[in-house]
Amino acid sequence: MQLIIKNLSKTYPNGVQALKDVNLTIDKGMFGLLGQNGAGKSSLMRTLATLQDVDQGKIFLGGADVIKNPEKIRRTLGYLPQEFGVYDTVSAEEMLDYIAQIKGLVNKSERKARVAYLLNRVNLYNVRKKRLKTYSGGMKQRFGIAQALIADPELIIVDEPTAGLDPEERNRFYNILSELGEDAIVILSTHIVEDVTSLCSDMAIIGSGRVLVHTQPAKIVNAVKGKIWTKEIDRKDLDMCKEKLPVIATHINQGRMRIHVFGNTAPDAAFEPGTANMEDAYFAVISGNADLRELSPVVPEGL
Amino acid sequence: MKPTCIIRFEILYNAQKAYTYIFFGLLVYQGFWLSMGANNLVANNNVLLNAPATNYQNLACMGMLLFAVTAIICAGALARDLESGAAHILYPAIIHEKRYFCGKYIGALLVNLAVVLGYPLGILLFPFWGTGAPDQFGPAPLGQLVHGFFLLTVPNLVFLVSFSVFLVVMFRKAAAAYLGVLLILVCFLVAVSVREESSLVLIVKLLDPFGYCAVKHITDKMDILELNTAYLPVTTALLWNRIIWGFVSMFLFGISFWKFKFKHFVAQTSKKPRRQKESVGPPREKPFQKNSGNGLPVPEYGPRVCLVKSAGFAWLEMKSLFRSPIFSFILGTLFLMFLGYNFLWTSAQYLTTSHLPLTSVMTYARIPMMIVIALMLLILSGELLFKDRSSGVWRLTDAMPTPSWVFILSRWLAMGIVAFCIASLIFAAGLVSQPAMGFTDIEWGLYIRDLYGSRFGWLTALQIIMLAFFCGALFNSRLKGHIFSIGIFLFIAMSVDHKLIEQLRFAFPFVPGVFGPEKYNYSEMNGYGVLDAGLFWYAGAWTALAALFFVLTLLLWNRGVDRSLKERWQVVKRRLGEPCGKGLTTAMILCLFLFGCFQYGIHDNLVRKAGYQTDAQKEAADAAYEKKYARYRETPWPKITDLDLNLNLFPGKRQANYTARLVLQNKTDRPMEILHLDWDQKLTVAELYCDGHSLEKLESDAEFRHAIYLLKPALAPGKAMKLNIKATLAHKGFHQSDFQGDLTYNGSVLGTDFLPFFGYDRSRELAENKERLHQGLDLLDSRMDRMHNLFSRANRFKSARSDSLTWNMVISTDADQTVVAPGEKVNTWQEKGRNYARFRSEHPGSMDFKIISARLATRAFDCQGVSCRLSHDPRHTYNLQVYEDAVQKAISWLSGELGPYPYSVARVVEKPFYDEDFISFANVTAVSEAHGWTADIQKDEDGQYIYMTMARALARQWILVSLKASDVQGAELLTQSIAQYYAFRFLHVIFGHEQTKQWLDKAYNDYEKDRAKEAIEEKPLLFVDRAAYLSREKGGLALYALSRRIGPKIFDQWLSRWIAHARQKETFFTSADFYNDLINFVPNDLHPFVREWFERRIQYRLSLDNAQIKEGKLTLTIFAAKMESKGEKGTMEKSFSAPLGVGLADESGNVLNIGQIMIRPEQNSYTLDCRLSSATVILDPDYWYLIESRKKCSKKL
Repeated sequence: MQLIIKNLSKTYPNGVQALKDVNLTIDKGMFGLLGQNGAGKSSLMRTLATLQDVDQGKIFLGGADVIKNPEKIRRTLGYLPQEFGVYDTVSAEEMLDYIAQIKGLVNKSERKARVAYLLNRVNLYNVRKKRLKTYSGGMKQRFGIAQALIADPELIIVDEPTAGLDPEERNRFYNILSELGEDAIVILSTHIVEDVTSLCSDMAIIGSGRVLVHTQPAKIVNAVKGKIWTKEIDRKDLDMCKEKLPVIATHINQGRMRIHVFGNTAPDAAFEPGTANMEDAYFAVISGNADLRELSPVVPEGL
Repeated sequence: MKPTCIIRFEILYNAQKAYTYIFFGLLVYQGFWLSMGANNLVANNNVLLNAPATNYQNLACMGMLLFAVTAIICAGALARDLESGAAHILYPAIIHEKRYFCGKYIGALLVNLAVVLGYPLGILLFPFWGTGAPDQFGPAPLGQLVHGFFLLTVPNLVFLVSFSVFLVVMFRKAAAAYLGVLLILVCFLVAVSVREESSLVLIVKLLDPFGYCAVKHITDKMDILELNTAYLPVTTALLWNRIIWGFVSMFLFGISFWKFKFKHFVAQTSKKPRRQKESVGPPREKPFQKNSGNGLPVPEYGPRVCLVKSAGFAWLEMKSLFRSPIFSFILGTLFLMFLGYNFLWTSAQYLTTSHLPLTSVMTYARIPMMIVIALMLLILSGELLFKDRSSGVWRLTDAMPTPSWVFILSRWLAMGIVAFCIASLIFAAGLVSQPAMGFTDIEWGLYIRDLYGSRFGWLTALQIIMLAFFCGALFNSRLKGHIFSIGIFLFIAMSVDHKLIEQLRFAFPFVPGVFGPEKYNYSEMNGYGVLDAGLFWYAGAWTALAALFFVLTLLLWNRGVDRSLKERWQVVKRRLGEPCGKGLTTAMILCLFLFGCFQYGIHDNLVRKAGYQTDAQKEAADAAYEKKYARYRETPWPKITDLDLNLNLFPGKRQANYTARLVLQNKTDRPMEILHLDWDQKLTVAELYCDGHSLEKLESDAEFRHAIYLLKPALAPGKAMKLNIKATLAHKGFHQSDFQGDLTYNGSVLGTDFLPFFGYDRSRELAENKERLHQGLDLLDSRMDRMHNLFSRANRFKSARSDSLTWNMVISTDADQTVVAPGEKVNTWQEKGRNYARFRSEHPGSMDFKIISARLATRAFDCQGVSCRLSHDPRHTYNLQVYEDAVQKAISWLSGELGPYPYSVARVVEKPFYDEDFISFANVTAVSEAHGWTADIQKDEDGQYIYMTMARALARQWILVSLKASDVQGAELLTQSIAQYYAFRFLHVIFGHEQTKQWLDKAYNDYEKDRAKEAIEEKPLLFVDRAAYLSREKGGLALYALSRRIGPKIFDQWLSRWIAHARQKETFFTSADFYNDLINFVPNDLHPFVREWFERRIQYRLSLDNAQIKEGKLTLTIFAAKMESKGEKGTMEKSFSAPLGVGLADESGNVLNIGQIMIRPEQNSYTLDCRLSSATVILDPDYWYLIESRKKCSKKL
C-alpha cells in the first residue's frame, strides 16, 4: 500500500492558496508532517480525508484514484481531525457504536467487542456510559483516537492528535500509532518536532502550501549538521543580530538568550558550533535558510 | 465597561449583517400582506382599505414573521457569546456582568425596535402597493398608527424580547428562545380561536399576551365612521391587559437580570464542563490488536446494509432527541395542550352548543395547532439535518465510507417518527378525553385517517419535513434553511388563509378540507364529502413534490467543508455525471412527471369538469352576467302553480335524473312570448317542450347558462301551460372549496334549482358593494328592492318562480338512504334495489323546499294529533329524547297560540352542516348536525338551545303557511322576526324569564357582532334586507320588548289574530302592512318606543355607576347616552323619550319592578322609593332597550 500525492493544488475562494503543487509518496509506516500554522497541513489532511475538493492534482491509494473514487479511501481511512465534535446527549459507547456502523461494521456482537476493546485501549471503558457532554477535552480527544481506529484502517491520518492529552496519555497514543504503523500508513501532522523525530520513519516539512522537504528525519538532521552555530546574547541585541545574521531560532536558558544561526561557517569567533537536531533543521528549512529540496525523492511519472 | 458600549456594539453588529435588512424588508412586506389579508375579510366597501381600526388589529397581532425575527435577534444577542465561544474570552474581561446583561438586553431591544419599524412602515405604505383604487384609501392615519404602535406593538415587543432573553438566560441555548416564542404563538392562537365563542371573554382578553382579542372586541363593535377615523379607545380590559403583560415583561426582565451570571451562563455549554472523574485504571501496555480478538469485523457497504443503517441511525437519533429535556418538555406541553383543548375548548369553539367529545372533534385539534406543529417540525428537521455540522461530528463522519443519503434518510425517518409521535399524542389525548367525558363511540378509522393521513396528518408532516430538508440543503445553512422553510410555509399558509392563494394545487402541502371551505369541514353524516374525492390527487401531487425535494436534498447536500455556491454547483454537475447521479436524475424526472400528472388530474377534475372558479373569476363572471342580462331583471315570467316530478337520486355517484311537468301560469296582464331560462351548473336539460306551445331557442349562452326562447303561441294573461322537462343533474370531477351538499354521498339537500329558473336570476348578482365597485357595477343601497317596487312586490319572498304551488313527487334514492320531502308522504316502496317515496302537497306552498336523501333512522311519536317524525343519523341518538320533548312542547304551545299545526305530519330531519343551519319548508324542518344532535346538553343553556331552535323552526312553518311575504325589504321581519319572537316567548313559558334573558343577551351580542360585518349598511328593522342579524336577533328582541311593555298575553293575542287574518288573504304582505297594523294596535304612548325599534337604528349606552339605599330612598348614578345610527354619517346623540325601568333582583333571581325613571344624557343621579335593603339593582329588567352592555346595568346594593 502506497499513498501518492501528485501536483496537488488548492486555492480557497478568498484567494488563499493553501496547497501549491504538492507531491508526496508515502509508504507504510509513520509519516510526520511538520509545518507552521497556516502552512497547509490541515488542508492537505482534509483533502486526503475527502472532506475537501482540489483544484488540480491527483491522489492515489494503492493505485486507486481517490479523487475520482473517494469511497475507496474512506473505507480504509482512520481520521482524527484537529477539531471535531460529538453528540452531546449520547454516551461514548453509543457514539462509537454509531461510528462503527458508519464505518460498515454490521455485525452487532463484533462491533460491540471492538467498541469495548478500543474504549479500553484509550482508557475510557469505565466512563463509556457517560454522556459525551460530560467529557473533558482530554477524554474527548481519546474518544477521537478510538473512533479513528475502529475499522482497522490502512491509512491513518491524525492532525494534532495529542493536543489536550497529558504526557502519559500522549505516550500511550504514540505507542498505539507506532504499532499501527507496522501495517498501515500513518500520517501524523504536528507542531511537536520531537514527536516526528522519535516516531516517524519518513517526514515532510510543509510551508506556504509547498513541500519544502520530504525525506527521513535523520537525513534532514544530517543535512544541517555542522551548519548550526549558537551564541548567548543580550536580549536587546536580538533585533540587530537578526538583521545581520541568518538567525533560525532563539532559546532562553536560565534567563539568558541564546541564538541559533545557520551557516557553513561561524559568523564570528563568539559563536560555538551547535549540536544539530530536528528542531534546528525545521527552523532552518521553514525560515528559508536551508534548501533541502534535493533530499526529496523524485516524483514518479506516469500516474 | 459602560452598557452603552455593549449597546453600541450590538447595534453595529446587527447593522453590519445582511439578515437585519432582510428582516426589515420582510416585516415591511408583512405589514402590506396583513393589511391586504385583513381587508379581504371586511365586506363593507365603505370601510377604507387603510382604516385605522384594521391597522390597530394588525399592530396588535404582530404577525408570525415578527415573532420569528424577534426570537432570532434576541437569542442571537446572548447565545452568540456561547455558540461562538467568545464568552470564554469576553466574560473574564468584564467586571460588571449585570451591566453587560443590561447592555445586551437594551441592545437587542433597540435592534428589534429598529427592525420592527418595518412593520408599521409596510402598513403605512399599503396604499402605494397598487392594491385597490385610490378612493378606497383615506388619508394616512399616522396618528392612529403611532398610537397603535406605542400602545400595542412596542409593549408586545418588550414582552417578546424579555421572554426570549429570559429563556436564553435560563436554558443557555438559542433554541430555547425559538421554542419559547413558538409556545407564546400557540397561546396567542388559542386565545384568538376561542375569542369569539368562549364564555370567559374577559379572561381570554386578559390572557392574550398581545391584546389582540381586546382590540378585536373593540373594533368589532365600531361603526363605519369609527372604523375609518377613530383612535382606539382604551377599554378597561385593554388597559388591564397592557398592565398585566407589562408587569410580566418586567418580571421576566427582573428574573433574567438576577439569574444572569457569567459563571452560571457559561457553565453548561463550556467546552470544559464539569470535570468527569477520569478513569485511572492500570495502563494496558499490551500490543494494539487490530481487531478485538473476536476475529476481524468485516465492513459491509451494500445498499441493503445502508438501508438497515439508516433505520438504526434513525433510532439513535430518536433516542438522542428523547433524551433532550427540551424535546420532552415540548411533547409534554403539547399533550397537555391537546388534553386541555379536548376538555375545555373544543366543545365550544366552532359549534353553537357544547359538544359531545366526538372523534372528529378530537382529531380536529390538529387543525388550529397546524401552524405550530408545522413550525416545530420545520425547526426540528433543520436542526436534525444540520446536527452533524452544528456539533462538528461531520469532521469525522464525512470522511467515513457511508453515503450521505444514509444520514439524510435516517434523519428523515427520525423526523417521521417525531411527527408520528405528535400525531399519536393527539390520538392519546383523544382516547383519554373521550372515556373521561363518558363518551365511548370511538371511531378508530377516523382517528387513523385524520391523524396519520394527508389532511394535515402524519403524511403531511413527512412532506413538511422534506421541505425543511430541501431548504437546508439548498442554502447549505441551518439558519437560512430555517428562515426559508418557515418563510415559505408561513407565506403559503397565510396566503391560503387569507385567500390570496385560492387554488390549493398551488399551496404545498395543503389539501381540501384543511383550510376551508369552512373552519370545520368534517360532517358526521357525510365525512369530508366531495373534499375527499380529490384527496388522492392533491396528496399525490404533494408527495411527488416532497419526493423531489428529497432527491434534490440528496443532490445538493454538502459533504465535507463548506463550499461556495460555485464550488457546490461544480460538485452537483460532477455528481450528476456519476452512476448515482444518473439515478438521481431519473428519480427527479419521475417525481416531476408524477407531480405534473397529479397537477393535470387536479386541473382536469377541478377546473375543467367541476368548473371551479377563483373568487375573482366568479366575481367577474357574476358581474358579466349582470351586465349582460340585467336588462331582463323585470321581465315577467310565468309562475309555477303545479309540479309533477319523477326524480331519481344517485347519491353515491352525486348524480340524479328527473322528468318534470310544470304548470306555468301567466299572472300578468300581458301575453308572454319570450321565456328566459337560467340553469344551474350541475343541470343538463335533455328535453324541454310545452304542451300546446312551441319553444324556439332564440339565444343560448353556455358561458352564463342562460337561454332565451320564443313561445308560440304566446301565453295569454291568466292562462296556463304545461312545460315538460327531462334532465340530469351531476357534479363532475371534484371540488376543493364547495361541499356541493345538494348532491352528496350522504345527506344531500337538493334545492329547487334542479329546475331551470325562469327569467333573470337575481341571486347571481354581486351582493357586496366592495365587489360591485371592483367590477364597475352600480352600488347597492340594499340587498332587496324597496317596497314601492311593484315588480318585486308581485313576487313571493324566496319563491320568485311560484306564488303558490301544489306538487306530486315520486322520488327514489339508493337502497340505504331515505328521502325526506315536503308534504304528505303518500306511500313508499322498493324497486330494483332502490327506495321510492311519493309526496303530495297538503297545502299550496312556496317554492323554496328541499329534497333530502340520507341514511336516516326515524323516531315517530304523536303530539296533539299530529304525527311527528324525527329522522336522524342512526348514530346520533344522544339527544333524541330532548328533541322529542322540544317538538312536543313547541307544537303544543304554538297550537295554543296559532291554532292547530297546519300539516298532518311534522318532520324534523338531521342534515349535514353545509349551507344553512335551519331550513323550514312546508312541514319539514332540517336541522344541521352541528346544532343539537350531538350536543352535550348537561348545561341548561345547551338543552334550551334545542327547545328554542325547534320552537323557532316550527313557528316559521305556521307563519309561512299563513303569510305570503313580498320579495321586498322587510320580508324577513315577517318570516324571521315573528318566528324568533315566538321562540323567546316559548322559552319564557317553558323555562322562565331569567333563563330567557340569557338568550336575549346572546341575541343582542350576535346582533352587535354581525352588524359590524355588514357589507352594505344596517337598515332599520322595518326595511331589513336579507340580514339575519337584524331580522332574527334584533327583530326577535324588538317584538319581545314590545310584548313585555304591552303585556305578553295581549300582544300574543293580537299577533295570532293578525297571522290568522293574513292567512285569509291571497295577496302578498310587506312589513309595512304588519307595521301599520301594529302601530294601530299599540297605545299612543308606546309609539315613540315602537318607532325607535322598527324605524330607526337606536342604541343605548347605559352604565349604573353607583347605587345606594338610605332611609327608603334608592339613589342611582347613571351614565346614559342614546345613539342613533345614521349610516355612513356615523352616530348622533339623541334625547331620551321613554322612561327606563328599574328592577330589584333578590337572591333567587326574581325581579321586582320598582319604578321608572326618565333618563337624561351624561351622568346624573336619580332617586326612587325603595323598601328593600339588600338586592341587586337592574336597569331595564324587561329588556326594552337595545342596551350596549347589560353587565354594566346592574349593581349589588
